[in-house]
Amino acid sequence: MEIYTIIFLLICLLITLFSSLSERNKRISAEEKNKGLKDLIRQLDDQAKIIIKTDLALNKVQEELDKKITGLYTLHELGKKVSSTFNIEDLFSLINKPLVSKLGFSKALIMLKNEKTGVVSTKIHVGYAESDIKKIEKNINKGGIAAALFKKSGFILVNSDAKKVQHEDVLADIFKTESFLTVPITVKDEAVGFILMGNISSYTKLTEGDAELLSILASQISTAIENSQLYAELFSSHQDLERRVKERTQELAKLNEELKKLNRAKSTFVSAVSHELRTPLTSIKGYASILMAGKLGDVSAAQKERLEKIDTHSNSLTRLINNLLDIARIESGRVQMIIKEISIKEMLDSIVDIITPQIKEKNISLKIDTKTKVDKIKADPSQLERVFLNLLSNAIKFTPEKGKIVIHIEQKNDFIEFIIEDSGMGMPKQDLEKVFEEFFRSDNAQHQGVKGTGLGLSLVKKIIEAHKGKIWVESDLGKGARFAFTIPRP
Amino acid sequence: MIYVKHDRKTLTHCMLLCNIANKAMATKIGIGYSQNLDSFSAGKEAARLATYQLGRLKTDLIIAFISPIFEQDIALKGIRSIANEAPMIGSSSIASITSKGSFKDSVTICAISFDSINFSIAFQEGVRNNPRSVSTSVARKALSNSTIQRQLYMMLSDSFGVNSSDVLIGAHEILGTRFPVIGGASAHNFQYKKTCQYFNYHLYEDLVIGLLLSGNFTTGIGSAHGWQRIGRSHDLTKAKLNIIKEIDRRPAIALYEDYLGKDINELKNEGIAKIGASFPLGMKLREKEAYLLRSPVDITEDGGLVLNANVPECEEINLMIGDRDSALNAAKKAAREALENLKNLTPSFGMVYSDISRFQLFRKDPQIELNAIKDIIGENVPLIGCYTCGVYAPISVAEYTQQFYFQNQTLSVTLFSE
Repeated sequence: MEIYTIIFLLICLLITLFSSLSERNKRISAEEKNKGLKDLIRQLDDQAKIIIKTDLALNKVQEELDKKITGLYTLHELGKKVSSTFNIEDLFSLINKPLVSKLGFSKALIMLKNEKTGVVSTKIHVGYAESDIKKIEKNINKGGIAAALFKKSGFILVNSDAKKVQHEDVLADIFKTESFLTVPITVKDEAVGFILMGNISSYTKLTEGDAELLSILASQISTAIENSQLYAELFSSHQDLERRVKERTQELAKLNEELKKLNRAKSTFVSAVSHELRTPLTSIKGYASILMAGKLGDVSAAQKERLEKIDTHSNSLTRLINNLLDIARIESGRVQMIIKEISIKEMLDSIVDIITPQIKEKNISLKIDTKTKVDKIKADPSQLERVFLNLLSNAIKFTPEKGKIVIHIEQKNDFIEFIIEDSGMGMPKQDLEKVFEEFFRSDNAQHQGVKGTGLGLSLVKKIIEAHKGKIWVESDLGKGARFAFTIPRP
Repeated sequence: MIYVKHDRKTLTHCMLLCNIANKAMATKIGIGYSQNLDSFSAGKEAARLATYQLGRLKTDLIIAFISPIFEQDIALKGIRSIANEAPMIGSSSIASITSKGSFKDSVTICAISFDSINFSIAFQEGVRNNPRSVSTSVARKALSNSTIQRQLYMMLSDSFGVNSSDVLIGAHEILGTRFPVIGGASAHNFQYKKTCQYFNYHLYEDLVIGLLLSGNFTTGIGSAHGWQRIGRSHDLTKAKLNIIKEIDRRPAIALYEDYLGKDINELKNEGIAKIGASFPLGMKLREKEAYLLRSPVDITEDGGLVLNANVPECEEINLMIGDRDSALNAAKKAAREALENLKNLTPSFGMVYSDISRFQLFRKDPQIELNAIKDIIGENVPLIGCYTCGVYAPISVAEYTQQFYFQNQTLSVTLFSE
């Protein structure tokens, strides 16, 4: 019996031993699994930290980029508006709180130095009260602090958490902002002012990217100031020029008036003198005729010859005086053109009748070349006849024997153009401009040999201009002449 | 059609007749915006565009969202110059959300001509010091001026130093704990500065505005965030109200120090609000399969994290991370939920409030979030809303309990059907 008890107890002991070993193994296994899981969780957690840090860094970069893009776009929009104005005040009115906020700042100042006095004053301010501005201006103008702000070379960037050098401390105190950025405004390589932008929040850090943006704005302002100055100079020059032109125009008008007066005086003088000359001339001619007629006794051949010369020269003088009188009358408006519709053919027929003897005498051929079917013109018949007679008689005078004269007629829009062309001696080119001046005679020897008063063409010009036409000449020495004039069509 | 001129402050039988008669009509919304950098002109242009779209309809209410880049009082003057007579509420916001687009750096005006919806508005200052009692007071005023069939309450409140959970609790004390509350706290950027609210063209800070909508209409609300857990779970070991003092028996800031590799001073310098917007804390609510997100806005002297709302009771706490794809999917989910909760009725219009961290996540191109919503609800549903510092919205769970929370990183979509 005891043996069985002992065996039974041994078996129980073995079973207990096996159980506890098994439990121990399970526990060890579970602990190992737990440790493994914990390690895994730790690893995942570490990876999560890496992900978060990476995400944070990416966010920061993206934010900087977004800020820069927004800033650049805002400045671009500002630039478009600025380029359409020459008024610097318009530009300053565009730099307002919304714009400053879009650039990422809460405070802004633009201060410019007066050219003459050197005093720095505020052009725009955002985020400051008026009382603050007065204090800032006083402090800026007081000491040498302005020199740091007006340095051409660069910007001043101060962040709230960064260590400040001495003048940065002073500036932060003056501008009442912990983080700020200043950039000088330069015109023609000289600093004329500065821009300040700042933040009162310590969270927003200023970077060199902000300095770049502000530099762009400073550059826009500089360009606008320069453009505005240039425009002001240009405008002033323009005003000055206008004033001078006005003065000169007034002077010219005055001179013109004087000239007209002189001209009128001349015409009156000529008219008066001509009238005074005609009377004695009439007497001279009259008495010469009486003497030649033998009414006061016989006249010898020699006496008759001299009396005939007196008569001829009196006639010449009379013609000269008549021409002068005609010119004077036309100039003074005392002769009114009696404009009517006349037939070109009929007029030319009449004129050809008059000059036929002179043509035949020199055996000159006369031809009329009509290139238009229009036969009517509007003119004063008697005055136009004088024009033709004058031009044709000149043509005959200056054309040698067996020469050619052609009258060309052509329609030119609302005018009829007449050209008296001859194959005569022509005239030097330098005389063409002066040929219609009163008393002008060419220096050319051949011309000097032909008699004339030098008033005929002047009278012709006056008559044509009174008809609202034009007259001109084309010629060269030895190559004939072409005198052309226009008369209006009906 | 029976046309009856009715007084919105008192109930009349005419109201019912009006609702029946005008069943075919719906609330009309005119939306105008301007990005003119002159504040007055921006306000004026936006208001003109919005009111013009209403045609001959009377403008019952103006809701304005003005970017903080503008001079707020001057922009309000611009708005007033056009829409002087209509009641007006609004808030500063970095960007608006409307069916016409999402506009940053803008003045956006929504001019509303209600049809079967009645509204009452109220406001009170002092929310920073007494968020709960001020919110209670506003809700009470709005309630007293409202008609029967109260359906929805929208709040816009200051966020600077404000416990927005208490603002919600205050409203629920008057309206009922299950009463739908939407809206959010004003936000304008990540610097966590003072924000602005507007009431009848006057500029305020430290304000709660309440808009109570009542009438015969149906609403459907959906919300989602799309942020996901990253790293291991942690224990919330010490917290009080809106301050987390300890996590895993260490100062709460240590969590961020560990994961971001920055010390407390660096985190202070960079701004914990901005970092917290991207990496909020997710609190797994007891007995729910959902994480309530909270963004830290400040750090206490002893390394605690100050949140903009109360710390809920939670099983565990995690750092959360967002990505564009999951956030966009969340936007679609919220829109889908809102449609489902509208019981498949056709939406007349909608309100969208989205947390500012989502604006940051989409790289400041919020149009893609708006497009995701429109993909679900349709192109032609008028939408109004803005980016806020947290939204009032229900937690989206399998069993939809209609329990509303103040949440960060979240988008809420509310659809209306008349």
